Amino acid sequence: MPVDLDNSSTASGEASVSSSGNQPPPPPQQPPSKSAATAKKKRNLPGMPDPEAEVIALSPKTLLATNRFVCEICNKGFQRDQNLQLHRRGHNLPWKLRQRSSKDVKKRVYVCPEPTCVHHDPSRALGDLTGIKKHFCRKHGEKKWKCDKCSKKYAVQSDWKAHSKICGTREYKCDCGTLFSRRDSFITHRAFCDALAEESARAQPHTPNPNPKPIKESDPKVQVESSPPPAPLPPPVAPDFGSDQGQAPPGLAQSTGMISSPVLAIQSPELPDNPPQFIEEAPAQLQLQLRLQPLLFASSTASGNLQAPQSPAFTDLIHAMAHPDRPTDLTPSSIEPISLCLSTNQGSSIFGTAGQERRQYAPPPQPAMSATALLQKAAQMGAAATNASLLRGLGIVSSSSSSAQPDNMQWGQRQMEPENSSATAGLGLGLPCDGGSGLKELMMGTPSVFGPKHATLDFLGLGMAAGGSPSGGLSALITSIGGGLDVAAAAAASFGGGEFSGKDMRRS
Amino acid sequence: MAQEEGSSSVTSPPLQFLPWMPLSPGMGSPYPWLRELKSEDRGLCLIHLLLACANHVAAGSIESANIGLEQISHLASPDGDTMQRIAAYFTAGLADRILKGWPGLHRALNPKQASLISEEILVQRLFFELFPFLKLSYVITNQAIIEAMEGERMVHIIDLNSSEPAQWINLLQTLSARPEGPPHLRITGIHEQKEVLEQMALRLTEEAEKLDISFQFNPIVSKLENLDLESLRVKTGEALAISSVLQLHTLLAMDDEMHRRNSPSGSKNPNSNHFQRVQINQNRRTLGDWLERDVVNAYSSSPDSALSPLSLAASPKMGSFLNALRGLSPKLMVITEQESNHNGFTLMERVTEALNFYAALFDCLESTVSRVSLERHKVEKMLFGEEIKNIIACEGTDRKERHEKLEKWILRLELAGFGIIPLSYHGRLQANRFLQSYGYDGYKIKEENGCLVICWQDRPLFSVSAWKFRRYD
Repeated sequence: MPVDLDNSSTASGEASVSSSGNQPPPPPQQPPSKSAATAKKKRNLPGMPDPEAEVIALSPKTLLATNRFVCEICNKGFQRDQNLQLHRRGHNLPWKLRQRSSKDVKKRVYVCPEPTCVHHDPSRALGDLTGIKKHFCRKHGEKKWKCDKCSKKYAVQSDWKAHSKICGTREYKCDCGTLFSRRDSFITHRAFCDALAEESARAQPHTPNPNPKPIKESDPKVQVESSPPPAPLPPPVAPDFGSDQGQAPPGLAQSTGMISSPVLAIQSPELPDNPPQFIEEAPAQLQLQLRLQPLLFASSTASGNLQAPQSPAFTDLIHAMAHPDRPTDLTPSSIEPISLCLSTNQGSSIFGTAGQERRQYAPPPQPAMSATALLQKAAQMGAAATNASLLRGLGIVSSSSSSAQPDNMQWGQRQMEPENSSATAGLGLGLPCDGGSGLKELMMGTPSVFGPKHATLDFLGLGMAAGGSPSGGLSALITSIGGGLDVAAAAAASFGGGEFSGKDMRRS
Repeated sequence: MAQEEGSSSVTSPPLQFLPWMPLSPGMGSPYPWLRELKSEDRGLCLIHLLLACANHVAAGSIESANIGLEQISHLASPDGDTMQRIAAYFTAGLADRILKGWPGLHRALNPKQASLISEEILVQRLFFELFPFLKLSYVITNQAIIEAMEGERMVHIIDLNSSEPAQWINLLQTLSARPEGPPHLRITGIHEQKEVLEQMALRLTEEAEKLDISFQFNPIVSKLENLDLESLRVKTGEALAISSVLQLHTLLAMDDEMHRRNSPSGSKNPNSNHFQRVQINQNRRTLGDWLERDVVNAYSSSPDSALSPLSLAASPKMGSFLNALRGLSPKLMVITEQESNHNGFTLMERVTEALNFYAALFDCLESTVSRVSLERHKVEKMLFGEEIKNIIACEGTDRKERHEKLEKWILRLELAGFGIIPLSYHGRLQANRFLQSYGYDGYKIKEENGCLVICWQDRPLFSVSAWKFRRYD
């Protein structure tokens, strides 16, 4: 954002070259444009203000004020100092009071009052009062001036005038179809433009153009989207997610949606004509939306205002999601910080707020055991009682039950320890790298049915049991889980290896 | 037939004296005591049942699997607690797998329909918003890009799965604050759907306009495996960075297809094939192998571990893709992947790994989002549920979700000629700072061999690593 160091007196004044009448008293850092006789003032390098300069922080009100010069006698405000002087003459002041106290004008630099702004820092202060005013308007002000040919909006009148002069006057056209009014941007674009780099036509020309003007003029939808109160049309699907995402309960979303739809209705017809009016009209509703943040499923009545929705849910989603976009430019100082610089460092700023609204959600009151903890516990319980029959029943091919035994003993001892998930994580499913062994333990670990009499009984009574009459495997499992560590480890390996291997072969 | 209790010292009060009814299929819902189960017991039950059922499916015993599924259905529910939800989606995956054995049935129940692009976009958006993983990945990626591109005037970024504008909006903002001014930035986005790319284009150019950065977005509508590198049009003189977020693993599906074609047991019908293949592999697995696998990680001869150079080299598609990328001489490549092995050869391996992985993800949701939330349900069903189904039920080129662990990726990339760039301390700091501002406890970031691993409660979930093109030395 280049600092405007021209001679215009005030931001809201006419964008005209100031006459030499502006000279006394000399504003700080008056560039020596006209009179060569005046000594050239030393200018600092751009971006590096004079370290000796006095830093002035004006309030936003002061910066935006249009009538800066106020007569001390009657409190009448004037945009220009000369006008004020003229006016003061009319008061017939005695001579002493007529002179302005001309103290030594100290070099002044100005900081932006907006705390999130780069220029808030004194080391990045701007040297020109006009400059800081323009900066403040441009970046943190509302854009009241709109070009009538295209839809570009400006906060500073001089910018708007400058744009209107060149709007519509295009001289350069790239082969890819983009139009430029400035030579330098045209050249830069051409350096990157791929349409020049190849001769064969792509299926579609590059959708984004560096200079969006032509698009805006041709496609009303996009045009609307680019201006600060965009109608909730499809293009801005992905909002500034850094801002305004929260979890409003559905009922609340519904009511907000209802509120929002009349706002939409107001918006669309008015949009091309009267932006300032619109801003005045609907601040309350927008504020409401800003706070309530309907994320999804706003009232379906709003969908009527949307064009080309894919499906009702999606429409509502776009509609709801488009809301946060609108206030972004309208209520300047409150919204922009949220979207731009929420956390202290720039890198992650855009992702900033997401969690903060969500903090309001409290986890369910009863702390149910998490699934990962359950898996770990299941693996541990596997250590409680091991059974070769389980291996068989679960279809795990195992070389022999004997190799399982030493491990069983190990685990059998381990079970004496209190449930110490971190310690047993080495064997349990908790350790992700241990996929295979975790499986093995879990498989082997499931406790057996108690006192089963027939040898073919396996874990869930599935598969092996002849005729498929499972004997309460599920219930037994539940029982055994409930019994937990009390299950006798002696219930191991009563079925012998012979049958085991027989089943093994049958499975394969 | 009733079952005797035996001489066990069962202490759980309500259950021990109920007469056990045989669990033959065909009974209604006769288990009133199921409702009295505490959530913890129910969860444990579900785990055991799930694994048992998966075993049956893996072994091809459909009858047993059927019974198992039915039993689980009494306990599982997509609206219940974490374990119930997980079980619901896992059983859906298992059932889908079984059903593929009857292609007619499967097709009838899953007709080909062009899924609404809007739904997919929505679900990706929800994943982005409900979890910090993508945001962290973007923060880390962008930090690595900024550091690598210090002093560069022309920067070209290739995004292998370009679906979230937020990533690049963040980068644009950070670049605009660069002391030497922003570079000329060009981003090439690759995605299968035109609409997504159009969105990206719009949002990014708008942002670049605001920040007054010279910017250009090139969309490429293509599947990653069909990507024509010529179309990327990398120019000499520009600094190239590649970003791949949860996308690279899909290329492994192509390799599996080649394996299957060459495998001796390959038959024409892919659906019955996997049952046979799985059984063959199961036979080869002995307990000794299971025990050894942890110790001898890198050089096990079992075909599954895929860490042996043999199997790595036998991923021609991935290898050639990585080589092609390397041929572009990128200054930086940042890869974000799921930190879990869901590419195991056998079903059981995948099921157990997936259980652990998705359990952690579901836990995240449980701790951060309300149970009745529709968004949470959508993410669970349409994102995780589909991934789980893909991991369990699909084979060959259909199975896209072939997540692998960081160690495997490191080996693959090094084989392809990339050298690791350790992620800077500053990047890690940024990520941690972001987590703090995000506000939820439970998420952690660990460092591992110069890469960052994002964890939930010590369970690693996603890994971010940075690579550079390594000259022959």
